[in-house]
Amino acid sequence: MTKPKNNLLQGTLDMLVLKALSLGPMHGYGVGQRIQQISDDVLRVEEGSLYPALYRIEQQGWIESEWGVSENNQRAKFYKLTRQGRRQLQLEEENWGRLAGAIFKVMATT
Amino acid sequence: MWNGEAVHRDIDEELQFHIRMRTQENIERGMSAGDARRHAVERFGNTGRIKDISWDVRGGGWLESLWQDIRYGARMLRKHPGFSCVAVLTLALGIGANTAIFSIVNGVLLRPLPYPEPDRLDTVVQQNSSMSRFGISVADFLALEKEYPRIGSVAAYTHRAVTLTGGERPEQVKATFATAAFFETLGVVPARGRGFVPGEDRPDSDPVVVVSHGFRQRHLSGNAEMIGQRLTLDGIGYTVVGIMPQGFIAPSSTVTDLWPVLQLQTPQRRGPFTLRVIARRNAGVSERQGQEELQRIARDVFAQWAHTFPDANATYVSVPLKQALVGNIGTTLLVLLGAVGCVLLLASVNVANLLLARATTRQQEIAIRAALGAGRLRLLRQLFTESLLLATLGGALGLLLAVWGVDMLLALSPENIPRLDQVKVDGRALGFAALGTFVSCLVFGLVPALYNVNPNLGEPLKGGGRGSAEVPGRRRLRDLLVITEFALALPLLVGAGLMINSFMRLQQVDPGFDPDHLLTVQVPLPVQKYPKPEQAVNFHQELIRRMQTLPGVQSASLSTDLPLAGGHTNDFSLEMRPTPPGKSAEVAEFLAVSPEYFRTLGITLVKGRYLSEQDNADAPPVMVISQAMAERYFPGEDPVGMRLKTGGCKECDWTTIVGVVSDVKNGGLNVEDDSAMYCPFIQEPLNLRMMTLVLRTESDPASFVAAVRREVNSIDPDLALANIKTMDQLMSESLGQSRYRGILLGIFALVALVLAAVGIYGVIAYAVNQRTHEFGIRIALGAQKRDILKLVVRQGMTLSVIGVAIGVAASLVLTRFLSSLLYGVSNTDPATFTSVTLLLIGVAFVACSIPARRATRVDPMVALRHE
Repeated sequence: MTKPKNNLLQGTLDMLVLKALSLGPMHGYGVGQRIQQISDDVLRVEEGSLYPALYRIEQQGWIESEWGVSENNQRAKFYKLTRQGRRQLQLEEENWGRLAGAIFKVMATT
Repeated sequence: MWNGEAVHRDIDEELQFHIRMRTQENIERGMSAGDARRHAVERFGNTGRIKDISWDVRGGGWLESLWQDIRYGARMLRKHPGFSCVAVLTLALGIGANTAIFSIVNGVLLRPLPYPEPDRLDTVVQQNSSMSRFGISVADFLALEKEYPRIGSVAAYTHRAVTLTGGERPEQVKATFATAAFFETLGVVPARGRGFVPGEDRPDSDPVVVVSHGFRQRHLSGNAEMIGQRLTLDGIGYTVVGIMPQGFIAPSSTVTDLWPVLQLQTPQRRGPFTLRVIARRNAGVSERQGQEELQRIARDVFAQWAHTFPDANATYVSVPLKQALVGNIGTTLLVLLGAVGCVLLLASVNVANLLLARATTRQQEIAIRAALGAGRLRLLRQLFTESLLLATLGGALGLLLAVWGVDMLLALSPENIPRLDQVKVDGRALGFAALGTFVSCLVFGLVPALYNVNPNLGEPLKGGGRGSAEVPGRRRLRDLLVITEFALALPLLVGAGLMINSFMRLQQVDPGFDPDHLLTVQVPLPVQKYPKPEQAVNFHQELIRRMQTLPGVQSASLSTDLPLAGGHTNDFSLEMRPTPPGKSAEVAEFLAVSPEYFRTLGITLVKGRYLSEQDNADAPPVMVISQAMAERYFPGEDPVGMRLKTGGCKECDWTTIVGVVSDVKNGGLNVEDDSAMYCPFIQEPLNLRMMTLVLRTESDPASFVAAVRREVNSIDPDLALANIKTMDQLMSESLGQSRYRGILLGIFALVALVLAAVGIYGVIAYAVNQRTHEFGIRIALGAQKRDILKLVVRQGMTLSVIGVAIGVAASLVLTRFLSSLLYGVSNTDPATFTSVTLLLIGVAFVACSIPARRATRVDPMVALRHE
């Protein structure tokens, strides 16, 4: 497996974060891990992008945060999707689907 | 709502949690504890940067974010020391020059006079036309003193050097003789003792004197009781009644040691008009009411004395005291302030240009910050903080420059600028510097900031910031800035050119005599010791006799006035064409001289004869007139043998014109009218006791001072010399203001030239850098070096020519304010405009051709690989 380039477009990273959080509240570390696991290690979210993205999305009001206790009993900050965020995710999923379908069609032409 | 520190802690804790989780995961994968943690931290890259950026996104307390902005800005400035140095130095130069000039303008023009409620202080003069103002006579003042107190108080004074005897050797001290109400009118009281009391300014009263703080320090070692002591001034004993506080200055530019009481004799006729008068209006009396009252008094007085002074046009006029003291230096200073303001603007534009050039390299950084969600306003504030930091550094350094610059300006200043002792870098100058800093910051900070916060984020991110074409808008802005610089520089250069031109022309004006090897020394004679005119005449004749036998003296003579200084003028009425009733009499320079005077100065005879020893007090009155006067008042006639009367004296005998001599610039080098009358000093007793000795010497004139003093004191041991100067010094002083303007405007213009050159160099060099790739292709495709050169130079020249054209248009308007300061050259002098324009374009050409030459050396291979 070649190492994939990680320069995810900004909007795409936001969408992935929202998607990860739609599976349940999670701390920042967990969000990164979850995206990586689900994508079979193809998508690695770098810390330098993850946290700014989280803060930005939080500013938008799509997620909210709360201090809690992690699975190994440490104090951690948990993010959870708001109702607005859920709507946003739906919107972005539709857009993405259209875009991906279009690209697939183009690439599938022989 | 969010406490800044809490936000920081919040973020920090969250990131620490992340690192701990990663470390644990690494350990589970089999890394050692140390490696695991190092790896976790490394993955974060620069945590500081994440915090910064997160901070941008989340925001914090405004004070803390301001502090953060400043720290960030300082880091950026340190990272580019070259850029920072150039920018700060440029700004320091601009702000420093402005603050220095402002300090002078502030001290001379803006600061109120050092008297309480100075707005109510006026001087009173007489005026008979818009051009001709003259002083007040004793008769005038006695009337004013009687009538004016209905609306205020009024006092007369006159400056005169007096000889103080009783010390080791006779000494000249500067005195201001003043009437009883002088201190009361100014609103000051002596620090010790008293001022004058009413009646002390009448002839039968005991003479009293008030001394300055400085005089007391010098003459009485401080501790002895001075009040009650007697001082012998010009042979008269005065009782010291008061000591003025330190720092008190008389209303004039000269320092005064003593204020003896001025005792006015009852006048026989209205003239001469030698007194200065100050008046203080009562509270609530407006300037106009004061003026009306003066005119009412004038009508009475003029009617009463009409038989000795028939001038229906004349009246009393009040001039605010400050305006009267400052005089025409105001225009010079305001012109300098305007010029130096232009320099600051230029400096700011230059820094804006530098910032814009750097902006391209920063595009990426800014795009990242914006992409990560930092708000537009947030970014703007960050960039603006950086500019403010630059400006503040420049301002602080500028202030240092100003302190040093003021000293330099004061050293350069001609002596005749009034109130220079008031000049210092004070709170107001500080405020001005701060204002200059802020304004320049607005100019150079805001423009690039607005352009940097580019909503089109994609471009810089994709392009990687290197080699990509510049955003067209920014390119246009840079062009505009260069055009502005040239448009600003041209008027400065034109102004300096005109001033230097005027100065050179003034210097070339033929003064009408040979100024080399001339020594001038005033020998004042106290009236008490020389009460009769004959005594003074005898002294002077003995003095001249001794001087002429002094080895090394070629010629010695006496005169009441020296050339260039603009001494006495007198009105006259021709026998053939008497002054019509009600009209103002004609006026010309009026000198009383010894017969040898013309030969001493090298004034040549045009017609008739010189004055001679035979024209003595018993002989009929005669005079010699200048050629200019002959041509002006006797056109087509021979003035020799014509007769006239001077000084409005009706009963006097007719004075016969016996000769015409070549013109001398008596009133000053820039005075057009050279009309002058010379009469034998023996026949004109008016200023007999204030004559100046003029010596033409074979060697350095200054080396004769000791010999002159020795001879004077061997005739009268109680006399002191005054105003010892060589004619070269007098020449140089008379050019003082013109030279001052020339030098200062010259310096500013030079700075402007350098700034404009640097500006256009920067833009062209940058453009060449940006187009390296393009030039590589062009050369690869066979373009000649000449073509490339032309391409680059044309871009620069277009900008400079547009700027210069705008500058010429602006100059045509602006130089009108210079008109009154120019001599012998019009404010739209085509030669000056042409040469300055060519100079500026030439400099632009050189500045462009350096980067252009670099462009021709582009190696196509390197340039193409460059991508």
